[in-house]
Amino acid sequence: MSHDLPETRLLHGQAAGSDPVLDTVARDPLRAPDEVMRLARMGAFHQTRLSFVRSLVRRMAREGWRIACRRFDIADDGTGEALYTVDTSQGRYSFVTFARDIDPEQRTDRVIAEAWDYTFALTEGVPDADEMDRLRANVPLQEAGRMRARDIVLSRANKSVRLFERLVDLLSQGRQPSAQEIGRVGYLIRTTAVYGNGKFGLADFARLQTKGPFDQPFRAQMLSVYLAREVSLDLVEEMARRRAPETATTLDPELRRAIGVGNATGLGMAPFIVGHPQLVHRWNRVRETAIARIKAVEAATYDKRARFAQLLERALHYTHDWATGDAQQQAAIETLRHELAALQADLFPAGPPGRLPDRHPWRWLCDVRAAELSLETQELLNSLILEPYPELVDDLADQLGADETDRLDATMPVDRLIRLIEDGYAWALAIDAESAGADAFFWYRSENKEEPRLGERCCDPGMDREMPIGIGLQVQRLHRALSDLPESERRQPVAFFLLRRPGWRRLVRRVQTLARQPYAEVRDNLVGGDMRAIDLLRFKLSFFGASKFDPKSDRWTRITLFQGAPLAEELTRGGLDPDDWTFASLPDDDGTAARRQGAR
Amino acid sequence: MTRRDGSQTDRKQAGRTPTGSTPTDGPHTDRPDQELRVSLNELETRYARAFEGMGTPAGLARDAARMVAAHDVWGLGGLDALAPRLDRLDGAAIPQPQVTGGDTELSLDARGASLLHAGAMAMDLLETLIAGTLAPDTAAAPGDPDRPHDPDAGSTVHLSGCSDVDFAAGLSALAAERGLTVVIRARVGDRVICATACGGEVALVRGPAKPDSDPDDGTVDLIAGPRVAETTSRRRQADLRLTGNAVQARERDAIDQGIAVDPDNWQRVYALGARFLVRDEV
Repeated sequence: MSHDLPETRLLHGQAAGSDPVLDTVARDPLRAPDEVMRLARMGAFHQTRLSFVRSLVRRMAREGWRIACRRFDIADDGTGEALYTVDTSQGRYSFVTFARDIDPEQRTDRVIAEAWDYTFALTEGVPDADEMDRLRANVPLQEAGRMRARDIVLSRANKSVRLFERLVDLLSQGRQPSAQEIGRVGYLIRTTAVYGNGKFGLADFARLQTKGPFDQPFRAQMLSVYLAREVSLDLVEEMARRRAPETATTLDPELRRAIGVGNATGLGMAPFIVGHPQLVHRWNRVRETAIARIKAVEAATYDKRARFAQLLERALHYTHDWATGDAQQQAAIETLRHELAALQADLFPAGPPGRLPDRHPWRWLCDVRAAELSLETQELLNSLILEPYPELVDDLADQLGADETDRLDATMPVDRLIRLIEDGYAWALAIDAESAGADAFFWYRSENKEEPRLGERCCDPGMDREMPIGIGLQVQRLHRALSDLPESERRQPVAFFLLRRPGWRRLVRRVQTLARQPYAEVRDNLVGGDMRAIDLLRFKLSFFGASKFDPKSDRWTRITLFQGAPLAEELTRGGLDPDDWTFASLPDDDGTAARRQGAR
Repeated sequence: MTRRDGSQTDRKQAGRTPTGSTPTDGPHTDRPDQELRVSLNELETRYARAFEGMGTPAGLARDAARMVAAHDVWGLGGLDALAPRLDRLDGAAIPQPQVTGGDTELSLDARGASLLHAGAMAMDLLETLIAGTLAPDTAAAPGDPDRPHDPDAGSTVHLSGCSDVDFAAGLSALAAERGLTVVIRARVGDRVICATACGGEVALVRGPAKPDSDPDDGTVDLIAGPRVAETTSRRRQADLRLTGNAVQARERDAIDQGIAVDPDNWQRVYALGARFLVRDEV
């Protein structure tokens, strides 16, 4: 297995093996970027305790954030406004909701939609009347509106009409839905876009980094999704109460917790991954560091083994709840279920402590035992082994931000740049550019809200406006252009090459910037005919903390966020472990899920 | 691309913009009382896309965007200065600059290119001079990285033959991001702009030119090494003086409050970036 190799080899000779911030704890060698940064594996990633939703909930609970509904002006038809506040350790924020009644035909998950059931904004402080007027005039317009720097996130969602109406109906009669009814959908609303980081005038991330609790990437966006979940739960209960005030009841807390927020994600995430390589490196470096720390654990106590056995069982239940119409993903889920069941029978035939080796049990599990398992199972195990060790992992969750400055070194001799490419981009040079389908796809932005799309080079228009996503083939061409230079020019600083060929400036800067960031690039041909864009989506969504990946094609997927997460009132009330909701299972009629998950 | 005056750019003839398309509208401006503020991220991203839309190579577009955005952030009116030049910059060729000189001093003739295009290349050359990786004989045939470099000799790049020299202050943003200690001095008519980058910070002075010591009109000097101290302006007369602290304060304000932009000009920037958008086939 890879961990037997010297680390310098794992990182292709680059001196990126050590990071003074991350490497404060003993760890195994990191997995090689050539192993990790492949689409097939990235498309098998699962949430971990480092995922943004997990670290957010931990922080909310640890610091006792208080969420309160200040205004709930919702009419009988479900339209109106609501204002929630969030008191954090570093200030008060507001979450404003505008609910509209839209034509069912307008209710689409596509980013190109023009109307939504709900639009939201997360903003600093509490808006006064003038501010509310401004938000009222702009938030429902979404991309067509303008936000201010005190506004942090802009988002929208549509109802899952069937489940929403069913719950209103049942609750108004004083009845509870079955767990199965909730499980079939898993959410009352689906977000279709969650914008931050300066878009449409919103606060730049640089502003959030310097003050307030949103100093990690996507933390503010995830809080917005969490708050949208609270709003959706309050909405369904309020609508039931209005329908029949005499008989209406509220949702059972177990069922309430089992409802998350849906999300429909399309190709927009793929250009993000190529466009933010330093961030991608950082996320992967942190995740790989966490895995390597656990693999270095010499011996696992009974408690740690018992915790792992409990999570293995929970994950097995999760695979029963997880279903999709996508044939390839469904087959992967079934393989996962089969492999987990076999692993459970093999490792824990009579419960803990089980048959894990006494020395380096997690290294054995991940590097030896898992080697024969599917990628889906391997990556699930990588997620599970982190769970029993918050003391070794959780500090890393605050290290997921990155300096995204790109840096051109004009002084670098061309021949050194050539070596840099040969060293760090060997995967790109290995792409067979002449093979059929090597550049079958091209990426472009649509006039419709600038939505990224994937075109087929054979037949779709727009090739002349291609986005630079196919890094592998581009690097190959740059390498050829540099290698073809006369020897005298190869000794010159790259500044002179760029003087003559300014078209290569962007790529030269990228190669130089990423020289010591080996997890920055997806090491596959992103315009090749065998590329599955859905793998890129899943990779990013796993860092968000998504579950129940439900691909609707190879270009978009539905997922669920915060399913099983503590409710707002539970963050400060106690009674539940706020961090014990990974791979949450639906509650059974007899409440066994509650016993499996977190009740104390 | 249909301009506001109804004329069409050559690029449209070249098919870069789908015929009959309605490009992304950008932010709505139907409320004249509403000030349009954009974020720094938005500003740099949209400028870069606009430059790319006008035909600037992506890597240079990013640098040009940063230069213009720096002017906006520092209160020097980047967008307002850029807007009347968009027609000229649109599709403008970027001739290969001519380099002459030795290992401490280079002259770069931009041959009519905009400073927004040639500035970053000049900064590249200055960096090679500072690092001593340039050839001992001529810049046109450099190639002896082993030759001992005398850091005390200082380094200068004289950039001539370019337009839009009044964006010289923005060039210091590129120096700052590279961590270089550099003075950039440019003559614009009877004024001189002097921008100092040091330790990642920038300070600016603009005042009357001194014919005996300042560069010729339309010329930009990029100076590093010992001459930075002697070049850094201590001009008594200045119509603009921004210390490092003042520049930082404006940068903080830009991040805290966004940057106010003229809606019409911003709309044009948006539309130029939209040239890369593809109309969906129904």
